[in-house]
This record gives sequence, C-alpha cells and structure tokens, in this order.
Amino acid sequence: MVKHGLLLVAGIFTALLAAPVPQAIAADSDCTGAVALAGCPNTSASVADNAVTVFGQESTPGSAGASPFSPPPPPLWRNHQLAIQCAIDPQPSCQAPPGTPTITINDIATFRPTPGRQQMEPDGWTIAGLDTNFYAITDPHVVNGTLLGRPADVRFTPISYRWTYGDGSAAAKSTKGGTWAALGIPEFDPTPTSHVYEQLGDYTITLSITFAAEYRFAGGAWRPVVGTITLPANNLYLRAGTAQTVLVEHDCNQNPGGPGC
Amino acid sequence: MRSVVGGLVLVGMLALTGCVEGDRIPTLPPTPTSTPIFASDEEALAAAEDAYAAYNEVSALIAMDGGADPERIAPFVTEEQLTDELEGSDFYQRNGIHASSGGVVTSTVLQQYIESDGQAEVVVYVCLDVSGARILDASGADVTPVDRAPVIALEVVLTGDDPTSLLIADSQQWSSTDFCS
Repeated sequence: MVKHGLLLVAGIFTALLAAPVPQAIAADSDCTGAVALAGCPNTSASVADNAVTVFGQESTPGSAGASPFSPPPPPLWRNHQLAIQCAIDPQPSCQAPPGTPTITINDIATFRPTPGRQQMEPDGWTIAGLDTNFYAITDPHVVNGTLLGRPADVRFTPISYRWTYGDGSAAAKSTKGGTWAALGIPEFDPTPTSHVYEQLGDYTITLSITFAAEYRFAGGAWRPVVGTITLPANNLYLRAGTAQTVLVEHDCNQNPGGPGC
Repeated sequence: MRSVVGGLVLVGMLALTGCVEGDRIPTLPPTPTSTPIFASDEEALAAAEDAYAAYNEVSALIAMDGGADPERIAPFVTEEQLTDELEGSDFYQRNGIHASSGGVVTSTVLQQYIESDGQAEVVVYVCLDVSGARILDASGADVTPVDRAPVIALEVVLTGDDPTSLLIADSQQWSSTDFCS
C-alpha cells in the first residue's frame, strides 16, 4: 500500500510466518515501569534499498495451547491494546480458535526521504574562469507512518552533498549552499558550493544528497538509525562561455540591434 | 660515639628545618572548583538505585490501581518523561486492566555517569523481574501476555543536580538481558 510516499508492508501475523527482526541493529523502545509489567513493545530500524524500515514486534495475550493460529487473526488482533480488550470482552471479530497460543505480531513500515533538488546561478550558463554557484534545496523532514497501530515517524536529515560537475571534477560538501543573495556576496564570487569551469563547453551536473535518519515509535524519544541513505537530485545542464566587455553608445532598449543585444 | 652521631643527626634536622623555614615555597591559593555531585561511580549508582526504587514503587501502585491517579508519578520523573508515564497509565485505564503486583528490581548496573554544568546524568541498566506480576481484567481474569519475558531489561536515564533527588528522564527496553542473570 503506498500512501503519501509511505510504503507500508502490512503485518505478518503469526510467529511461524514472522520475518526475523534483524538482531545486529536491534534498538530499544520506550517502556515505563508500569508498561514493562505487561511486556514492552519491541522495535528496531534498519536501512536498505534507500529506505528506512522500522520493525515492530509485540505479543498479545493468549491461552495455553499447541495448535498454531489458523486462519489468520482478524485485524483487531494487530493492536496489542485491542487484543487485550478482546480478551476482556470477546466479540465475534475477536474470536480466535480454542487453544490459541500467544500471538506475536510483526509489523513493518518503510519510510523514504523526499529527494532534494539543486539549482545554479547563473541559470543554465556561466563564464569560464568565474565561479558558478550550485546549491541544494532540501531540509530535515519527518515522514509519518503507523506501526502496530500506533504512530511511527522517521526523521531524515541531509548531512552531505556530492556534486559532479561534468568536467571530470567532483566535490563532497557538508553544506547545501545558497544563492549569492542569501549568502550576501556579489555575483560570481566564490561560495562554499561554487565551482569554476576552466574550459568552454556543455556540462551536466549531478548531485547526490546523503541523509541520516532517526526514528521514534508511539511518541517516544528519537533513536538513531544505523546507516545512511543517498539519493540523487535532479541533473543540471549548463554552457560555459566567454565574456567580453564592450563599450557601447546606447543600451539595448535604445538600440536593439547594438552589440550584445 | 653514639652521642656524636645523634648530635649530627639533630644538627642535620635543624638545618633542614631552618632551610624550609627560611625559603618557604609560596603555594597558590586553592582553585575554586565546583563540588562534584557524586564523589564516585558507586555513589552515583547508589543514588540511581534509590531513585528508581522510589519510582518503581509508585509505578507499581498506579499499575495495580489500573492507571488511576497517574500524576502520582510526577515527583519522580522529568516533565518530558511524564508524558510517557501518563500514556502508560492510560493504557491500563483504557483497557480496564490492572497489575496484581509490581516488578522487582533484581539488579542494576551502571552504564555511565557524566556531569556537566552542575547537572548529573546517570545511566543504569535495570533488571526488572515481572514474573510475579499478572495483568488482570476487571473480572479478575488473567490476560497477561503468555510469552512476556520474566525479566525485562531497561536502560534508565536519571538526571538531577542534587544527589538525593535524581529524576527518571528516560526508560527504554534494552534488547540484551545478559547482565540480568
């Protein structure tokens, strides 16, 4: 199910079918003293395929028995709290076969960062030998989702920017840069993310933005996710030319046919 | 002979004393330093244990009362942690469940103790034996998750500027229970 950029892989319900939660990146979840008495929810997160996947696992009450749960439980059982409600007040939708063992609920939510964009000054052209200002457009952002029936969020923070300039050179920056105006410096001056083309020609500029991620479950504290996600931004195309200064008698409005008009 | 040696020793001692008296090395006045909140890791751990014991006692009472009067926990936790505590109590209230008893702290291990700007932060692992606590519904039926671990390992952060008033600032389940055995 794709919803607002959030890929939700619905729960796999029984322990028999459960995908194992990766142990190497096992993280922890908020659990107060009172909640610990009922067992703490268990969550973890990992990075794969340019996305953060948050795993949640939780046990629900059940009676002693040996038979595996079949058929799969109704959706109500996905929620730990509702499962307890079902145990208190069994309704038809809550009914489980007799001898139901403990149900381990696994849920997975996948979160993807919003890719960034890049722009340049001047736009689409530059003068060889002078600085061309490239800058990224991206900000830290939170992607919301649901895990085990409760809110789960992943916060993506851009941490590094790698440009390839199309002339054989590349640079990794820790800043996304900004317009000359925003930086308060004159046009064609160097910026932390500017580049100088020495040769005339047409160039394609690529940018990859690397995001760090944190996640939280059920409004708990933010916890870091091991690994980063690197996503490409849009490509830019520019022509590097030369500039000559010519003293003319009139401006282009007065003399549209004049040099440079 | 013995008296001659004794006399030489006495003269030597007087000379040394005189030398020290005559050329006293000036000493710097003691540098004013802030008094550490805890003198040792052991003190920090002991304070954390006391604070957690008081918190755990009230936490258990709230769970046994089905989440009633959850604000009772406020004096033992930071303002931020209080939100989590109230959510936990709400879990009991919404479902009409209560605990038969509280968890028993079986061991605590100091993870780290740091102090900056007069504020202490003590992080401890707490092993909470919950095997004796049953989760019961309003009719008294046992609705305890059957595969609930008998011992829950928690990583607990306590903060404070006073050794006698550490507050629970965070409590998270810790995936490993190695230190609980």
